[in-house]
Amino acid sequence: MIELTHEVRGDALILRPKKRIDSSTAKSFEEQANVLVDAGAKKVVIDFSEVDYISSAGLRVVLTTAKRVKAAGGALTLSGVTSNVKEVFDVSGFASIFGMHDSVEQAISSLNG
Amino acid sequence: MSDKIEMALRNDIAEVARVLDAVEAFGEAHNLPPKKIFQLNLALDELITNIVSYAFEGHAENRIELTVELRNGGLEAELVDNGKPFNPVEAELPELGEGLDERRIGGLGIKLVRTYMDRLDYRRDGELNRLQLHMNLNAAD
Repeated sequence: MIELTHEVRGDALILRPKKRIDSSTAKSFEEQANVLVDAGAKKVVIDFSEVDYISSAGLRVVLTTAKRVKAAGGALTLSGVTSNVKEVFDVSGFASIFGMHDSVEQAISSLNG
Repeated sequence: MSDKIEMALRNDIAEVARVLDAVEAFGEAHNLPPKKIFQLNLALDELITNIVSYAFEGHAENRIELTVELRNGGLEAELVDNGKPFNPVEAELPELGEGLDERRIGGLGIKLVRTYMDRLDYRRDGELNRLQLHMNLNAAD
């Protein structure tokens, strides 16, 4: 199980997974994220400030969640991606797909734009 | 802690968490650079995930073994499994695609493994896949 908290701020949903998004936690992240996104969020931010590990299984969940949000007419972006996790996004070419922001506030503004 | 991790793994994705914990503890006990431990863990995660997901279709006697040790100033790991032959060193990687709609994940794990490991040696040893992973520890990062 992954530890995931969330926050609704205005019309934005902020997802905050914690610690590791690896092959053994990615599925529970996906299931919980789906439920939250399906509640009608059009603006979604995944805040990575408390994530210190991601594998390709985790990247897959970010991708499928982004597609799910887009299919519902919304958009998803990322905040707080640093260090080793950022490097995985860079190596994978994912950084440019989702957009990365230093803070949750900046991420939300980018979705308002 | 000894200078070597030896683990027999069940054919279960939950084993990945056990491996990551063990390698993190090994890294802390030996004061290894956290970035190197992250990279080794990522490679092991991707490779064990591949084995659990694809190696044993219709195959009852599953065997997966991992060793990690410090040797010659580097980190050396070996993954052994008796699943179907798979050589991650030579496997062709599919195009990953560009935008959100075209983006693919297949092959990304192997790309990460090849990016982060300094050397990979694969051989088929009878009924076994044997993959050796080498990481230098004297690099600047």
